Amino acid sequence: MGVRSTSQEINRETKERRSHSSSSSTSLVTSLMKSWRISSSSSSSSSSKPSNKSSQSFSGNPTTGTYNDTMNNNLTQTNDGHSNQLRSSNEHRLYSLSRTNSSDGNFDAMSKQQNSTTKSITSPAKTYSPLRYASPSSNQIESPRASLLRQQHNKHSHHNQIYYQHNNNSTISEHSTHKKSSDKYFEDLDEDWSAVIDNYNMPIPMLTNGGNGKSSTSNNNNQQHNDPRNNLSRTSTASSVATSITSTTMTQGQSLQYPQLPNLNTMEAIELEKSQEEIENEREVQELNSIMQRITKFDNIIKGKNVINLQELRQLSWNGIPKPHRPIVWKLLIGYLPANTRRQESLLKRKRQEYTEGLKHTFSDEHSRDIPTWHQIEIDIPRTNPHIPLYQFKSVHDSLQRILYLWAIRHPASGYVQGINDLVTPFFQTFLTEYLPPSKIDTVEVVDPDTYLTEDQKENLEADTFWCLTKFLEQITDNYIHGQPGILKQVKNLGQLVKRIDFDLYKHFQNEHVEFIQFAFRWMNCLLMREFQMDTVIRMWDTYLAETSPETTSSFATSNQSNSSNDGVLSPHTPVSRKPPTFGTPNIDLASPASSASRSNMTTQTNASPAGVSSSDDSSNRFSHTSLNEFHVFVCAAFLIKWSDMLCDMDFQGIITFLQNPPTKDWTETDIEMLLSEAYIWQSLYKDATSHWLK
Amino acid sequence: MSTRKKNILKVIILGDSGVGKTSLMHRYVNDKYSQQYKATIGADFLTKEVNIDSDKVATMQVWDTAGQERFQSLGVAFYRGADCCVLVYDVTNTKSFQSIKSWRDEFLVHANVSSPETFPFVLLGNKIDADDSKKVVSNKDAQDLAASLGNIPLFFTSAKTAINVDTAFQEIARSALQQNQNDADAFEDDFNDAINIQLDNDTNSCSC
Repeated sequence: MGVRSTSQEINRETKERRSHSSSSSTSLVTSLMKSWRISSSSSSSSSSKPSNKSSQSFSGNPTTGTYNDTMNNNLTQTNDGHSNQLRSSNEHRLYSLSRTNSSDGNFDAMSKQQNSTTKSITSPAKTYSPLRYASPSSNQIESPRASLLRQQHNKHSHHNQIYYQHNNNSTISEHSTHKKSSDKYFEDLDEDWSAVIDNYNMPIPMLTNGGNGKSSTSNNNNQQHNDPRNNLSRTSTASSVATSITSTTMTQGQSLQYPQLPNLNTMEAIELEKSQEEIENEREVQELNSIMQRITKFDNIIKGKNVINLQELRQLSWNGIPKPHRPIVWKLLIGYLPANTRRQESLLKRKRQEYTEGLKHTFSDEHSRDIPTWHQIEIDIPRTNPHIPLYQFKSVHDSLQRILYLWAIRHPASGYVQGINDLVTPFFQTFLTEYLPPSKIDTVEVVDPDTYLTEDQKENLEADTFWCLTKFLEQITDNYIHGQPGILKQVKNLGQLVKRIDFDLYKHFQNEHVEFIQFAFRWMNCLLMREFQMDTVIRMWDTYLAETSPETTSSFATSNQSNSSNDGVLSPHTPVSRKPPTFGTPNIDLASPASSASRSNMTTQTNASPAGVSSSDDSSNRFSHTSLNEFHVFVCAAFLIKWSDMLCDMDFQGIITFLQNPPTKDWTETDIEMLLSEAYIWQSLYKDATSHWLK
Repeated sequence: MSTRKKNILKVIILGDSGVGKTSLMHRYVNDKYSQQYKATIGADFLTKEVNIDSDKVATMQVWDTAGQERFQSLGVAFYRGADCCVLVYDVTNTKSFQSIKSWRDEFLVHANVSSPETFPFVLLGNKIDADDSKKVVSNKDAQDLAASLGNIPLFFTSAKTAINVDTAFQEIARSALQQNQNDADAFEDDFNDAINIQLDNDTNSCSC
């Protein structure tokens, strides 16, 4: 896979430039990340797009020259990682088809893995690709068949390695040597990056793994080599390599627009003989099966349990939640519904009652109306999602007005800020589907809720929406208090991140006097909701809620219960097997809005501390400590860099105009999933490093 | 001068939330009106090629800002380098009229303009298509305000029915161009001075 020669070369480079070790490591990662970007963006474009685009943008990299070989290797390597990733997701599909009780049926590429890959360097199942994320649970419950598939997989990786080494005229030596040399290399690295590598297992493990897979290779190697589909992502991305590979891949005509999933060897021989139509049908069946699988899995987690395993639910939800499950899963993930199912009903009852009483109190005569706030909400509601019929109905206007006004009154530190009217709608719309029969869930955007909701149901819907909005905004209080420091910080971090990931783009923005705040403010203020269609936003929130749910909040609330004068408003939570974090956002206390000042202080602390907290914690618990803002910045970076090539050709006016109205109208859930995985990968690579420079 | 860069005029639209800033901008740039604009967050950006006095060409970059007070801290990022500031109120909303002066002050604080006394503002009273019964800001009050702000131009507009929008923006473009050239001239004057000093020195050294 060229890794060996890569590391040799880098090692040499690094020695030569010992004094500039940080710059060389930066360029390594930059080129890695760039190649990832290119690979994803070119695979997202239709197959008619010439593959030389990536080479173009690569030659535009300032770090060419002596780094050329290195970069080609990096490119290759990353792309291989990419294709491995894709292959593995396919493998998983097959696997889930063959076994009804498989552990993880969906897009493995995006399934989460954080637990200590370092420890498992010798485990082939986990370490063969730098950019692949295997679900920890899937590794634990792995069936013999899966490991067999993975072994084959590793053989491929190994073969690729040899293949690229030939390309680079390097000699093959013992793997142990390589590990050594790469270790050496990493010793030379800037501290930040060695930290990254320690945690996330950059190229080295792949090497080791290549060795593990070596023993029984050759047959499959040839097959793999000759089959164009397995080389797909390589062909479409690394033009230096593409020349040596038949370009028939482009004519395969597979209908998936976004990352095409290369097939496994075992299936290839059979599939080649089948007609396109059969393949199509089979794919549909597979997809249907995969959906059914997911539904079953969600059922298994949620239904018939006394205590729902939130960790498991979170991992599963990261890849998307089936529509029928979404309302309840969102409520669980956000910490509104307790994991203890026996307590759910009473809690819902109490919360809904609280909301009703809150309304009664706020709208009673003794409570004077906050006219500016009321007016602001009043003029914003008709302008909320104006293109969706649901938000034109009078009953919906009234509901949203009540929810937003009550929220604003209860949170005087921030009050109502434009954009919150956007953020309430995914909750409202999702919870509305609870009251529709499953077959009609898709009509939620066009039918007037008054035609199917009773008054009680409407109140329940409003209450659930209100509380979940409250929980959600608790995580990002800093975004909406005076001066919006949370947003300013995010915008700054985005700039820093882009500077490191895509320096060309960053430089170009500087030359054109484009400031990040000019386009990214809205991205932060509305969590990219203005940039995407509602259905994709909702899919995005599946991941956001899974990635960043405020477990800290509930734990803090639990430990803080004695301090509260009114424990009635604290949401009771079953502590999951997780030690309470040091910091947390206190639960918003309905009865004491005056405490909001101290609340925002606490939130600041929470935002500043997650890295420290998670490092002391078991790494598998990291989910609960990622802040929403933090992850969102990575998503924004992925989103921006997606257009990097285009933006680099534009002037100020073009850039701003483009970013004000990015071409995302036809984005599907797949596009969003790709974006989220890219963000996740970047977060994994940069998370620890960022603690040094993202302040 | 033949290689002189094409004029770029930076225009900022300010005013309370919901007075029709976005609608005015879209009416002017695209000659379209819609009821479906979302509330502006941060600032929107549009550009238009303009002919001024039929002989000068420029590109107008319009920043349409968010009206909610909370976003005012953003000002600096968008106000800097502006050539003209458009203040908009809603003739059916007294509060939006009362806010005009504070919007102007806000702008001057953040924009860091070279000479606040001469910086061009234009005042627009929008939504004059509304029923007379709904209009709460009198023309007289508006004229008084315009006079008190340094005799700034005042227009009564309707983004909905396009009344006066083009006229107003012609004036905005003219003021912006004027301001733009004043700044450029100021820069050139400095530059000439520097050269003159240099020449004097040369002369002195020759005569020695």
